[in-house]
Amino acid sequence: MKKLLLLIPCILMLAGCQPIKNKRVELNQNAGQILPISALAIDKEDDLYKMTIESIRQDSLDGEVTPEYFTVKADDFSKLFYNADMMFASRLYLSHASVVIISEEIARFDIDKLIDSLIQRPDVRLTLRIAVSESASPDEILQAPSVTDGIPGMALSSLIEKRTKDQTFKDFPMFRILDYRLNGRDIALPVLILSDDGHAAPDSSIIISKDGGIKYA
Amino acid sequence: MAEIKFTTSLEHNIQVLKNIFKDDNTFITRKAKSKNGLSCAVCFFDGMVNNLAINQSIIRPIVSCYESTVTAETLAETIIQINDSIVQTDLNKMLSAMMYGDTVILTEGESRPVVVNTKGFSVRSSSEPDNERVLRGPREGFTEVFMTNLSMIRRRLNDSRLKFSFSRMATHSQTAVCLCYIEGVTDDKLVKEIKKRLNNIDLDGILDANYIAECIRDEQNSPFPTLGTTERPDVVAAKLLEGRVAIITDGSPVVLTAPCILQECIQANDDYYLPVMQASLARIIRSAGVLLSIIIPALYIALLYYHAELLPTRMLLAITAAQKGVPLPPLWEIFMLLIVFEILKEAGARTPGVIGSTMSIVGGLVLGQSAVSARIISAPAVIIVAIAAVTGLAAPKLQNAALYLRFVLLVCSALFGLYGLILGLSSVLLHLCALHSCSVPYLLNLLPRVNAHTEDRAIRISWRQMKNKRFIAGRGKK
Amino acid sequence: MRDTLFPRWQGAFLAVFLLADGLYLETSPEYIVSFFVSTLIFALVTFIYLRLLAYFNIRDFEALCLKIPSVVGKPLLIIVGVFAVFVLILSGLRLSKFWQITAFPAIPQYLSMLVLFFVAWRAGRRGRTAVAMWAYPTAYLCIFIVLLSLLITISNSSAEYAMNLPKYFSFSISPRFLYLIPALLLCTQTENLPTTKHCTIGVIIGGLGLTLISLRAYLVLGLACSKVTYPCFAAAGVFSVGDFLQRGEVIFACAIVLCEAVRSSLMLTLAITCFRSAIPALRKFKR
Repeated sequence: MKKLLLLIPCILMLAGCQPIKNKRVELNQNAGQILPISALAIDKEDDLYKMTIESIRQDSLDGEVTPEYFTVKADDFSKLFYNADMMFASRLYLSHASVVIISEEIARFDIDKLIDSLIQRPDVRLTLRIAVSESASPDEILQAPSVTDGIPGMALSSLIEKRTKDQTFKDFPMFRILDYRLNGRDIALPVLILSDDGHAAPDSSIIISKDGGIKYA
Repeated sequence: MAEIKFTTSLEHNIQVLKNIFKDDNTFITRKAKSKNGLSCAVCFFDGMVNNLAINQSIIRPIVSCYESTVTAETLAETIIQINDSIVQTDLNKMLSAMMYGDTVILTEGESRPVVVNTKGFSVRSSSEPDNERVLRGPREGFTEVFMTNLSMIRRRLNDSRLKFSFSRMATHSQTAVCLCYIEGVTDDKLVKEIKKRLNNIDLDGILDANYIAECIRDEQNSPFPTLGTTERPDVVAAKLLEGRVAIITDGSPVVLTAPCILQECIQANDDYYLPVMQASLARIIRSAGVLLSIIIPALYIALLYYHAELLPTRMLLAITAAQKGVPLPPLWEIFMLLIVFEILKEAGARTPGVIGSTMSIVGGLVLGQSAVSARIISAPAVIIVAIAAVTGLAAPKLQNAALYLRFVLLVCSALFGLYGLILGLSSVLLHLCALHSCSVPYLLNLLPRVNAHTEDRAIRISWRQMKNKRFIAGRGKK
Repeated sequence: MRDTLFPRWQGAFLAVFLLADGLYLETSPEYIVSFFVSTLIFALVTFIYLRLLAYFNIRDFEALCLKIPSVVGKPLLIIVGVFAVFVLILSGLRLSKFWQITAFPAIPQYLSMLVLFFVAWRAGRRGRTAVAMWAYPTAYLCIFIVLLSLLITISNSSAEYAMNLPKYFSFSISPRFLYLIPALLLCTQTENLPTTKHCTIGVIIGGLGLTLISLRAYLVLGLACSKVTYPCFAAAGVFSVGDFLQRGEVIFACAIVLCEAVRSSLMLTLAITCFRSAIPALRKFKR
């Protein structure tokens, strides 16, 4: 029995030492190993997807939380995430991301692929909300300074949450979109625009049918 | 003990005793002769006896006696003016009584000694036990004196069925041990079982109740107490009324009670002296405190290592910010801090009052604060360990168990996150399920609707309803 | 001394045994209906089995096997023992796979299986009484967590899927419930003749629990279930209590893992009991 007890510290040492095969991120040991993401903005430029990622960091216990933006490009979504993972020593940690802003083109034609690659990652929330940008590119909407919160992505997510609750927007979290698309039904996504003074503002909802046809509600 | 034999010759008998205690300068023999020729010897140990009693109630009556020879019985019954004086034929018993403060009187022409109770050694006066303080209720505590302790129990239970069964244990110390129970309330099987266990004790000396506790308790390897200990006579009386037995050891203010179940460990001594609502709330808070104390370091590690998604975003950021620049990973940090805390606690407990409190301030506050500012440890880790430490004090009887379980669960959650934690906790529950104290299940009254013997469980019922619903150890449902 | 299981413990054990399946359930409407039907059928089977035992004055399966000729009885015991080991290994496999996918990619599967078996062994060697006693509070805790989890996700479910459910009604039995048979053989051990009430209630609670868990996943995720590896697990996370506990599916999973631990320990106990009864040579080994 005593010898068995000796095994425990040995196993303990091993915890987290194996290479991570799965895409799930563990916080293991040093907090520097993860990069919490608050929001994503995905656009399509010249047949390449461009993803702007809003990561959040705090350097000291009493310091401010500040957003940092970086961009990756790839020709499909899984490569996009792979490239983003490979960029830094820390891995993307999407568990705290609650909003993805996409362009209308992606919303119409690529939303299934996007959701497929998102759902592949175990750290993504099923309640993630997808919004469509109008009159400005998704990364402009994402980076637009917020009045209420120092982190624009978090401000956007609370904005969409609030407007969904008061039924300005129809309630379509990621799992519901997936369900409706598999059913062949129309989905409704919230639309965000850039206001005259440069802030992100809610607009109407966009209704997308299975074949990519749109109308506004 | 040496084989001794008395004859009718006083000189011979004195010599026998002197031979036995020949290098012992505390042994005193005082000859007393009356005018009519009655010759006696009063033998006792200096410092163990009440001198006044010997002078006034033994020596004075002998010296002023009118008879020239007396039998032992006459001496004990008519001459000696002390309440407890007997003719002792068993010389070994006589010796041990003498060594315990009694006085032996030998007479010319009589081979049997008279043993008189003159115990008068200095004792500590009864005071409230430091580790069992109450907000409200009796403040008397046991002392190191056997008979005084018994009297404190007897005074509270004025019942002829209250039994004190004596025995002497251990080859060298010959310590008096008393098994106390209320006949008719306590299960006979329990009394027999405890007597059997006591008889099996084979030690050379018993200096404290714990010597006995370790020999007779069930499941030696469990961190949970399977024998109750208390220094309060009112608690012992209450436990006796609940059908338990008490074991009182001479020389120790600690009284053991058996069986001991988990329910007792989360009760405080004044639970029954405070209003129902206050006591019930306190019980729930205490249980929560113990649970929190055990799981909080493990929970912190589980959330941080494997389930960061459960933490609010800003909290996660704050924790990761606090971790930056700290050399140790969170697990080892918590591990080290817990150990350092235990060391501080141990050092504080063994240091005299004023220095102790100074040291805990320096050790806890100053060191903790500066270690955080110097980034040797992170602030959340200090907070977690502090919470674990403080909440652990809520149920003092489970401190030992909490200490062990804290580390075990920490390892579990470091390996398997929340799953490890819940499996670990569940294993603890399993251990408790299998644990017994003197054939009574340890979780008695605590598992929902299984084996419940009483309504008095997590929530205390009022004394008005208690009469027929109180817990009786070893008995089924009423 | 012969192990004794109080009727309540037996019921709790059966409920926990069934609930252990809660993470891996299929979520199509046909399956949901079959879970419901199986619950009713197996509650009836339990009831009849226990009634028959009581009628023929047999205390439990072990006693039954000792009554019939040993040519039949012993192989029967060994078959049940092997089946119990099979269920145990199945539990280990599915749990370790679940852990690897959802929580601990870095921990090899064999290690997590070992953990489950270690817990099962620690419990199993203490005998059935302790294990079933352990199952009792565990059942309360798990049912509480599962109910809570069902309640907080109810607002996210879509009513139209619920309306469509009766269309899928058919008399099919879920194979998951077949594993209940060895559990039933073990759990009825008593000093006296078995009683039917608590065991039947246990089966109904466990079966309804499974049905509700599966139904919840279907109502919340709909067809999205097919895209998620563990839909019953994922559906438990679709809620938020403020900013805290955003993805509480782990807590739900903890409750089910606890059930899995109890299930494994009981299967181990069953295997030990069967092999020891069938092969006398094994009896000299300590547990």
